[in-house]
Amino acid sequence: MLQDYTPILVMFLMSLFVPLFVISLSAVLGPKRGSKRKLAPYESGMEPIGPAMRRFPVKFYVVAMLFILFDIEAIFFFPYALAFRDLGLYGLGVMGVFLVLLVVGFVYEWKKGALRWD
Amino acid sequence: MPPEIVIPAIDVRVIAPMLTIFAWATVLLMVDLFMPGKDRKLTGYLALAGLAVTALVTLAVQPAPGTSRTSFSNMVVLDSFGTTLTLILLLIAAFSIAISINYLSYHNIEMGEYYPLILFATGGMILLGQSTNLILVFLGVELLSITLYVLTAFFYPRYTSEEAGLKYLLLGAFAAGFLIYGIALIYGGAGTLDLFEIGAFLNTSLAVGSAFPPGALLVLIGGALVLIGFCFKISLVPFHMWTPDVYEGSPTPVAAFMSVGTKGAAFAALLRILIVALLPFKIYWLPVLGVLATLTMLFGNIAALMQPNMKRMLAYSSVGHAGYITIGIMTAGTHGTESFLFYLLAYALANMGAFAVLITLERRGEMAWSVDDFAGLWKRYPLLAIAMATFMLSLAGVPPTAGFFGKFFVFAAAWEDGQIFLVFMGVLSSAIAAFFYLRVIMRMFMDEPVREVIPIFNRGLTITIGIAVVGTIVFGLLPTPLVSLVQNSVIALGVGG
Amino acid sequence: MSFELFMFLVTAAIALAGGVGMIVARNTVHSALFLLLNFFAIAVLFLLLHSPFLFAIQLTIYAGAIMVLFLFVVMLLGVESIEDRTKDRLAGQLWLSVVLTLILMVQAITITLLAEPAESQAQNTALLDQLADPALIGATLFTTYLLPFQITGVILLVGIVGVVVLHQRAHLYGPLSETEREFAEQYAAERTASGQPAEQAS
Repeated sequence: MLQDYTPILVMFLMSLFVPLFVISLSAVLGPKRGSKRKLAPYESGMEPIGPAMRRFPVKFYVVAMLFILFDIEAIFFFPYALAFRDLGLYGLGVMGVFLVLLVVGFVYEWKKGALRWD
Repeated sequence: MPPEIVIPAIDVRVIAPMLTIFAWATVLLMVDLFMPGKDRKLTGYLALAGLAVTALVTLAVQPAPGTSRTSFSNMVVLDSFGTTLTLILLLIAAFSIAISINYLSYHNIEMGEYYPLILFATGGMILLGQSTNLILVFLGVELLSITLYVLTAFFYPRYTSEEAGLKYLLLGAFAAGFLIYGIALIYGGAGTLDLFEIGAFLNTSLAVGSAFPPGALLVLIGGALVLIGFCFKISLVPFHMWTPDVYEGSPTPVAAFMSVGTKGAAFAALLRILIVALLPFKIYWLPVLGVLATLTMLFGNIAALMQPNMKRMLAYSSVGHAGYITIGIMTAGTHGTESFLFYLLAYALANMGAFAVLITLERRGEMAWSVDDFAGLWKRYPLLAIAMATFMLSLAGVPPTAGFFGKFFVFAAAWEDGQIFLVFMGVLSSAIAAFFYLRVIMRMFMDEPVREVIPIFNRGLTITIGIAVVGTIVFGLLPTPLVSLVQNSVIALGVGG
Repeated sequence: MSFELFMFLVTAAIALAGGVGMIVARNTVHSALFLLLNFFAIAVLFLLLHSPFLFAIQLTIYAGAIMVLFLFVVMLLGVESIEDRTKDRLAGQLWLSVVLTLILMVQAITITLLAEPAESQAQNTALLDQLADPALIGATLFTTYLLPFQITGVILLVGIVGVVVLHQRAHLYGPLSETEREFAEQYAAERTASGQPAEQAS
């Protein structure tokens, strides 16, 4: 049963290998002729004006919260996708009720402007 | 091999009350969304209509006396206990909305979502009262709690409200951890989450031999953890620390709703778990609940003695009342169920009324709720003073009020069960409690006003206070119809039993 | 050494490395990324335990959504403002954690020692494969557990409403005024000073 997942493992290793390979390739093959100007910190040609890890506005957090809620709702579609043939019309009705609740939530936050950025 | 699908027989009547209230809340959320203007009072009235419709549906589907219906793989049951509890919870929700409608706009915190959230919480409470499966119990607790976290923090510019919401959230999440871990252990031990099946499992496994079988031991540990989880929700004494802060910070109608509704529903679920699933363990949970009840009654009432702040005093008094209700729970199996329901209704009337009076005296931008504001109320607003006095007397358990019979039935049931010590502690703590309830009355009738307080009246508040006063006195003078109602409210002990 | 055992050892090592890395990393963002590594390894462990559905959930919910939330909390609070993490603010928490970890280890070892003999294990594995079949989970979820499933939908809806309500109150009323802020600070100070709630503040 575990063998079914071998392609995923192979793909995972490939995706690990390719960037590592490319990065090390450029490190090995690329010419390194540094001058003072080239090695200076670069941010649109200016000195950096602050640390990269600044505080985020709270809006990101709200989006993340809403994302989690819809993510959990999406999880319920996995088993449905596997069983919907056997569940037939009954499954469609049951999932429909669930979906209505989800859509109500979506319409609500849309209308409330929770998805607007400014 | 495709799994075999067995579509379960669904009896919609069993979930009709909660189905109605959830559907109404969802539609109301949408209606409110597309309603123009800033005024949200119409949403509140629509929510009240929803509660009325749900009450009618509940009455329409109520089972014949002595019977019950189960459905959804025996996860929910509709018995006469569930019906009576649902009606009481709907009354509590209606009171809460009635006293909220003007409160929200007066304090400038009016948002239409408030009313659907109250309806969702009420639905969660109804679910708690009807579920016979631990998964549903957990989901009911979560639905109720998540809604109340939001409602507690509803008073936006007020930092205490934010603090209350966060405190309630953190402790609630902590309690949910106990609850879900306990449920997992019970599942590990008994191999089922169905309350009836857990009871049957315990009966057979304890009957087999003299040794304690490991499965039953796991259920015992899990049951203890579930009890701790519930103790947080109903604020029994070692787990009550959040109560005064959360009640003080939250909007007053929400505090009123929590103090009665959450307690009632959580106690009902606990009662069902104890009496249906864990009855074979009665020798273990009885002394534990006895200690908790004693501590709760004594500590809650002694702490309330020292409060100059009415809202905190009512919070501590609600802790104390949780202790009396616990005594009712302990006699589950004899007269526990009926004394619990009677006490809950009497307490709901008096407590909702007291909070409503508090709202009439609450001024914009102020967070005092001082007992001083009640001083001399009799001379200026005699009717309000009489109403408040009635509620205080009922909470103290003085005849001729409903609160007296509530305490009387609880103590009588405990006495009959042989819990003499508990009855003694109950009477003792009631005597302590009488001090601070009577102090409020003394200040209203004997003292001169400390400062000028003009009460705010509106239709919702007046009707709520009126119904609460009439109910408290009528059920105090003529408890017979109510007694026969609660005596017919029996918990279903078996499937279709 | 079977392929499964080999995979288990590798994954367990990665999970442990992620856990340790999360605790010792100085930078909070690095801690969060180590935790992500740990989540991935746990997901693979679920797969090794023949539970593909839990594998998928672990990846989507934990490695996906919860991780994003953690990172946003870190960024929201500001990495630079977090106090010196070398100081131990809760006295004794190190020793408490060591004791608790030892208890957990004893539990794990006991369970391993009490494990059933190999032949019934093979039977159990076959049974587990059958039970953890996502299609079967789907079939039971929508039939036997229909009501809990729908109630979950209601809870999620309430969650969405709650997020929006708590977020949007600030939009309705604008930021706090100067007096409100002063009042809040004064209230908090009084409260911490006396250990009692502030009375009569207006």
